Amino acid sequence: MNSIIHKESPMTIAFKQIKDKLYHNTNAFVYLIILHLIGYFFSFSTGMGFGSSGNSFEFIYRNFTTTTLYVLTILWMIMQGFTLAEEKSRQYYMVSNNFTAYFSDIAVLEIYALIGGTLTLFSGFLLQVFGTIFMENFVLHSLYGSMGTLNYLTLFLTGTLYFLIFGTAAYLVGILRVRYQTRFALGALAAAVVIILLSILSASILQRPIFIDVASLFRFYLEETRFFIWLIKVLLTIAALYGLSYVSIKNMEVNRS
Amino acid sequence: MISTLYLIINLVIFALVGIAGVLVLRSIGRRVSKKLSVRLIGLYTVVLLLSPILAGFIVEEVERKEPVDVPEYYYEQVFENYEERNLEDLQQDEYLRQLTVSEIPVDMESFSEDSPLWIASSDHGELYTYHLIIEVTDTVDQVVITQFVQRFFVDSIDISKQFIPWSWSIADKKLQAKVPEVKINLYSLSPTKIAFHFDGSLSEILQEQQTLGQSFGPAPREGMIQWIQIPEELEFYYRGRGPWRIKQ
Repeated sequence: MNSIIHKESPMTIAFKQIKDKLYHNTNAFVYLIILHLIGYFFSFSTGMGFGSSGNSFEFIYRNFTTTTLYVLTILWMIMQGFTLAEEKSRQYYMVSNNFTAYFSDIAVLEIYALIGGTLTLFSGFLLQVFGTIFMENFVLHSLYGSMGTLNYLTLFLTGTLYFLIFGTAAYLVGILRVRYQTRFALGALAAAVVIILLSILSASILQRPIFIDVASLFRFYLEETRFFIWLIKVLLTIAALYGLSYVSIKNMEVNRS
Repeated sequence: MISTLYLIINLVIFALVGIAGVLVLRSIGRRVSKKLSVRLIGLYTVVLLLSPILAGFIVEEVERKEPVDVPEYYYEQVFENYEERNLEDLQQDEYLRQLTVSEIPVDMESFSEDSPLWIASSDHGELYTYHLIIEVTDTVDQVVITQFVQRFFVDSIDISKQFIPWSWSIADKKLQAKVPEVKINLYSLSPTKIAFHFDGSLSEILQEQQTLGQSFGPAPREGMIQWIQIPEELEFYYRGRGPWRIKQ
């Protein structure tokens, strides 16, 4: 349905909202930069290392990865997902309905995921530069020798899509929280209690201690080596999260407060 | 006890950094104007996009050579089979790296049967267990010491490059070595594992990294071989313990 006042289609309004939201949330990028700086710091201080020493001989070896930067970018995506969902309660935009708000939100999340994916892809190179500047005896792991263009593409694609999953999941949780407010908190608490009780019960009665295995959830994606199956898994997950958040937002009152 | 303390200190540092980070995020993040944040992200993007070029200039070429599978305690084998080995042979051995060749001039007149050249195996009273092969030969007219080290790979990076050769000298009719303090701090950067997401070797890579610490093997400092060539007419006397062989 076109807006009567603006005489514009929902899509046009949604695109205007994307621009507006990106502009309004420009500070998000400052958060990303600060988080990345912390990430560089952590990467260099938490390298996996081992050493050996004897008389007049000492050998210390440390290995760094960019994993910390990925974790912090995921954190940033979660922050942005929450922020975008929170703003549902203060819709100050031009003519806005739930569809345009939803559409612009997920589009902004996708843009964020793309930016996050691109920046973290290049962070490895920046770590190389930092390493050579600040450390003597800095070398690249032999795995870099086997890195081809396909591996960089993989890094970019997997990074971007994983960021998007985390961002959308956070967005869904944020929407549910905005919508149900106190009931959401109670529900989350109840769910946690139920899960803990169930795992305790299963451990004591069924003698199977691990009831909910978060690691297996990660393995579902991470250990999938067939590209298309992995793509289907990831895209279905994102689609499910999108669907759930749309269902949650669909008949929500825009101004609840 | 110390390691626990170290862990606690580390955790405290991390917590402080985390808290500081959140505070900085909250205080700076919100105050930064939109114009400045756009500029900052632009700058950061430019730096990141330039970093591959910078890295290409600065970082040494990755060693694409496959690591040589050096047998453990290879230096022992060399030492035991000293009769069959000669210097050229060792120089071409792919398991060994030649560190340096030092030529020490000797004044033949000052050594005789009564006052031979002493070869000492200790440095400031401290016995070092190195592998010494003394070859008496007529091809040299001064003492020539060739130092080898067993090649030693960590993450297919050749560590033996980092070894500092010992400095040999003759003082008070005594041939002795000064063993330098070797401190190797090696840092390496490895790509994030998800780069190999579809290579089917993810679990292998993970396993490889976990067993890395165990593959450290024997202390590589013992892998030094000192090949000492002594002119035939020079009288010498070996004094000390430690493993050594004389090749006539």
